[in-house]
Amino acid sequence: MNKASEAYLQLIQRLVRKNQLSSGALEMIAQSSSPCDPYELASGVSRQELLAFSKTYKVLVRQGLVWRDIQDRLTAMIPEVLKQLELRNDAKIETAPLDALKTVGALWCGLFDHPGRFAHIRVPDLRFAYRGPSLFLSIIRQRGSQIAFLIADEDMSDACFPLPPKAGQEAALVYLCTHGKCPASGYEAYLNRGTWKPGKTRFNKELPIVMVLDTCNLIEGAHGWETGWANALRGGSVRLLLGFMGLTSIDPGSSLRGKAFAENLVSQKKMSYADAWIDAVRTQAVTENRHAIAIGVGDSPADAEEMLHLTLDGTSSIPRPKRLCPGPIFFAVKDLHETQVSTAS
Amino acid sequence: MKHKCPLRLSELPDWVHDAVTDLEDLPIFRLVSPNNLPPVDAKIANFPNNELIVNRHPDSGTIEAWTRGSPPTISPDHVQAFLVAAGHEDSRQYLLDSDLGPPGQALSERGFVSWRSQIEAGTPVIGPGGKVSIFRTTTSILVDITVRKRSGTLPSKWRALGTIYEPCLEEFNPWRDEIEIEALLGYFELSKYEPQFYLRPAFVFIFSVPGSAGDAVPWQTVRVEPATLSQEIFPREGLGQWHSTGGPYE
Repeated sequence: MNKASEAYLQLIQRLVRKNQLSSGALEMIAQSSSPCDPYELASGVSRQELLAFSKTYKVLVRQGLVWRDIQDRLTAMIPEVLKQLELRNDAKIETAPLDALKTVGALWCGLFDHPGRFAHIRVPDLRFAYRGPSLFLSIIRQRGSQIAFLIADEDMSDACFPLPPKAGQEAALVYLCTHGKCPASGYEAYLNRGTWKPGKTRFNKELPIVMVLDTCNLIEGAHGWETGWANALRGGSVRLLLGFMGLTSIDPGSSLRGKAFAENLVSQKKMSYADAWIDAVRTQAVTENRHAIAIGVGDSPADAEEMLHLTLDGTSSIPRPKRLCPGPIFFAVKDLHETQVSTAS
Repeated sequence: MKHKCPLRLSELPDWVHDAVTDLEDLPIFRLVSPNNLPPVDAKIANFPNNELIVNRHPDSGTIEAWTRGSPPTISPDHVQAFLVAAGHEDSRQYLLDSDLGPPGQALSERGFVSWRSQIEAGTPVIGPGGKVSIFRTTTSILVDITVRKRSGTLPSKWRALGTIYEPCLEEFNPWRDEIEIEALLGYFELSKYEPQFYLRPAFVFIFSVPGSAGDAVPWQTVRVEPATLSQEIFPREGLGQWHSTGGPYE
């Protein structure tokens, strides 16, 4: 296969990934006797994108497409595309709108009462842990979201996890701010006394869907964290984790990210939760190396990536994401620069 | 000015002294109030069919723009237009932050690009503002021109340097064996979410405890200290909500 043909197939794959080319359109292209412009059969493509890629297509035609080879490759792609569409449709069918989805809850811990010598040196208080969640709640409440629960300091104990039955069933998004660390045994969030490990918790089947873990070290490195989270999330409702790879600052200035996150969600920009979080962190960071991440969780790579597109409207007025099945779990990890997919069985 | 590697707490005094050696007193700049800014040019860059929405952020008056769809690329012409718009906001040098993104990747293909600004005499603007940034999301391209217009100067004098670092030495002494410090000196500009009326020289110290010792928890916090003082404004004026150690401001 020549370079032009490879480039043509990449155009097709890009459209398929973005769900802009139906399986029917793909079959039409595969059965066409001569090369055709895939963008003429695509949907949901901006005018500017259309112009740019139609131009690219014409250049590729001039360079010479080996149509027979392309048809063979397209025919092989079709079953995979159909499978992805089926997964997306499954998710739509399995999920029905819930009245309570436009609700949020928050927990923060600024005061710690851990046992042992020098406890306040080992686990120092976080005077400004309240700022991120409360600034977030302040904005999001003004725009019509309801606050299902608030839990702070000495009330943030083992008894909070799993979330209290009523609270857990009502909040689509939970915002947690405290100390966090990620040793080899997996992520831990610090409570007033002791720590919470996600593996201890069985999440509900319906809610929450999004968890903001405004702590250090949601994950510590690029790999090795997947199994712990897979065990915690399998069979449950949580489909999107927002947090940090490595350390993050919790102080009055940095914590304005709570406000920025809420504004991004409710503004005309209609950003996804993932983009709204990553953008909020970078707009309040004093240097560029603050490593905000969003982790979409799903039963397939496509399903996990789909969660990175989830918006506030997507958890309030249209069908909610389906809960995770038993079996392998896939993670789509997005940061400011790229998205990578990993898995845990 | 920025140090090259994390500092230990004991190294902070020397770093602060070195940072100001040979530097003359830097002025403080007055900034134009968000209420007195001209309307922003909606056609800041040549995007067809009103695909680019441009406005001033209500909190700060800085320019933000976003596209209605997700164009596959941002052309060099668009980038140039955003940098020209930044120059109209305030005349500065805008330098590409080349540390971001994979080496060799074209700007137009990057998920995030930013240009940090410098003002006269090459003093960097630090903090969450003072830059032009382009972030490609799944549905749009977001452009922030977080640069405020200067309208005048106030003379200012360096603080007694000991009053800048001594409160830090005291506050973070319990973690002295493992704390790491990232230190910067420059003009401190706030994010688009905060109003700002003065642009002033400041030290930024990012204190990090990796938490590798035993059962200690990892944490990080930022302190922003005014570097100079003027009799005409309060010592912390222009630093928004950023936390300083609280003085004394001498």
